[in-house]
Amino acid sequence: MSMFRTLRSTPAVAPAALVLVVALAALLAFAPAAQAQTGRMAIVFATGGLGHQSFNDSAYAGVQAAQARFGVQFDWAEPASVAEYEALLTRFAQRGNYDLIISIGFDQADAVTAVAARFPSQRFAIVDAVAEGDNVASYVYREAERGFLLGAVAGLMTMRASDPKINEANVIGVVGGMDIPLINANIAGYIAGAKYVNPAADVRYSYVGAWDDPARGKELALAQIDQGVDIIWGAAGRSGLGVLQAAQEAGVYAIGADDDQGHLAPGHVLTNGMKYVNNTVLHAVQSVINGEFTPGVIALGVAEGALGFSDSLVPVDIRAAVGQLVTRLIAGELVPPDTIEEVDAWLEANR
Amino acid sequence: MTERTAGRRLPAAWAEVLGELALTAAAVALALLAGAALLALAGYDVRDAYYNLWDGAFGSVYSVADTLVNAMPLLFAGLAVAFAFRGGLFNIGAEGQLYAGALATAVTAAALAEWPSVPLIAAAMLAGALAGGLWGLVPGALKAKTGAHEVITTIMLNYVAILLTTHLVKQYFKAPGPVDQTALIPAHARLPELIAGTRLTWAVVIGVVLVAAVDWLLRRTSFGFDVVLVGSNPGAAVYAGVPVAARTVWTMAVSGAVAGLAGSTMVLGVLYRFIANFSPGYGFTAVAVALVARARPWGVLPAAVLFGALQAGGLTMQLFARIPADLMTAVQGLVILFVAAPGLLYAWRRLPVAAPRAGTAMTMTAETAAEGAAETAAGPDNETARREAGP
Repeated sequence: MSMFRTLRSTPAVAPAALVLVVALAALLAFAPAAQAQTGRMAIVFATGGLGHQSFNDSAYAGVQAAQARFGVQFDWAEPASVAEYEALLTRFAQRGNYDLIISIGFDQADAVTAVAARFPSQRFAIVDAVAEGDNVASYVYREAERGFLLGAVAGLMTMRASDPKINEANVIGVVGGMDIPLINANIAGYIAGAKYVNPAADVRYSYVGAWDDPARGKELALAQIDQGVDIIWGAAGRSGLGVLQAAQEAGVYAIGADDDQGHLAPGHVLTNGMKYVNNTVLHAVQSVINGEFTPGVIALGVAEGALGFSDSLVPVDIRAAVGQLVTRLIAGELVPPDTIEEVDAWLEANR
Repeated sequence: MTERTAGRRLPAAWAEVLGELALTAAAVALALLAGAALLALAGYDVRDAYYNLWDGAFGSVYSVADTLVNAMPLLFAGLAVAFAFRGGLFNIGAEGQLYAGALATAVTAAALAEWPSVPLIAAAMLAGALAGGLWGLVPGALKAKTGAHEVITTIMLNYVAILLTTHLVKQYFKAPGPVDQTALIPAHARLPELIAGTRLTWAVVIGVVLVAAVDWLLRRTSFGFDVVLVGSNPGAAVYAGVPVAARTVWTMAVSGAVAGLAGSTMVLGVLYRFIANFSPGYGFTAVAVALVARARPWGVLPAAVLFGALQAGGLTMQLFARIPADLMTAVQGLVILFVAAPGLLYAWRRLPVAAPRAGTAMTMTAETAAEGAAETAAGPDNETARREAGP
């Protein structure tokens, strides 16, 4: 018979249905009362879920660290699509019992701006993007610092012609995603870092014009490698994967972005420009715990442990040399330039 | 059922509807009890979980609104699937059709931004219905002309629609920024809020009107009569001179148009833009909604609300009782299982159940329509037998 068969023996089933519904209602009647707690945070991860060694996992590590260090409680959501952000943020904000709601990832900016406007007394933090609102702290990075460290590593390494992947030419390169201030700060720092440790170094740079075009990224990387580049950084999102591939095929070094990408081109990833989202999350939580929450744009850098470079294949002595630069960045003695135009003047001033 | 029988036995018809509601409520309750066992087995606090399920679905005005907001795309898409069911067609392509409708609506709303509000919204929805209808018409035409089975073609066209809309957005309609989405539609193109401060819009009203319209189409028009006749007995339809091929094409086109409106109302009432990959599978849940509704237009309304409640409540259950999304989906699956398979309840009540005929999906759809069209020769006999044998 059909699953849509009509039921004529209603009287027999109706009381049974009633009993079940009552049983269920009884279950609900014993629901726990909402507990008031201090130090309660919510976090909405980026799409893609946990467990893929991505931004999300780093953020989750930050959550765990905050739990261990400050004893705060965390609720979290793993959205499957960009379309879910606003509903999830609204659900958290609507509860009204979170000291802070943290959003991970640049594509949540619109949703955070919209929800923050509707819940003016709720505090929000967004990582790696800028959202608007008097109740929103936007955590971004002093990108030039990371570029500076990578440039210094590459500038020292390219002089080491004894390494089979290094040629005689004193040339390194970087492929940027787009010609925008954020990427240019990375490139400016990279040039400044390379020439700071290796004044004769020549730094090539080009832009893919897209974040998701690995083929074009590879093309541009190969063009640079043809010009003698033996260390190339892909600061271009997914387009950067093409840069890694080009380095692997041409037998030169690549520099990864944001996270450890060594597994993508084994033996060829010299170092990675790291964004430590875990420390960023920890920083945001700490600001609330200490009563120092400040809305607006907050730029974190090497000093806060939010940026850095990975050891990967970097020789020990270069690691030590760049480590000294890290110390000077933290001390504020070195403040790398944010635009490519400023690089020459900066090098003059920091000779 | 036909108008004539409904008119003659109105009280009986109402008793039948109430009976089915009771049966469905019992099935939902049973499913939730089974889900409770599942949650307990997995080591979660059942009371905390179900408190949050209830709270998120009906606990406050906002929750009720959220339930209805979640129900809206399921209402339109479920109605689309139910309509095709009645015509003997398994439209698994509502997902693709709603993507087509959503993008067409977003693009139209942007292109006609100078138009005043009401004609603009109407034009944008019309564009969504046309795009969805076109996306439904293709598998209908393929079935009519070549016999290609609509289950296969509609499933495949889902992928085509999702990837094609993503490509079109990236290539032609992308707003600046990291996300593959169109620009926000102008404020006067948005469906007005029904309750301030919630995301509940006039989409609800449009949905109810559409349910009534589809019900009217099926029961009071010759087109609807043909659709149901083709669905219940294609052979008889041919004999009666119904152009079966043309009806198949049109049934799919209308179904696709209604599914397209699911996308339109998402764009005009919830997202205010097209976002690539925005649907978490509304078009697939819609199949379950249509099953639970027993393919009746008015049944789609409570069925969509049920699934909307499970989604809204399931979300709070996930967020605040920390039930993993997978377990939440399992509980929802239990509800579908119990509601769509009333045989489980019969077994529980020790009611005799007639042995299934050839148990393929297609015979089930054919029966779906048969049940709605008229009590077929076999139907009343079985029904009578069961009634007599019942306690």
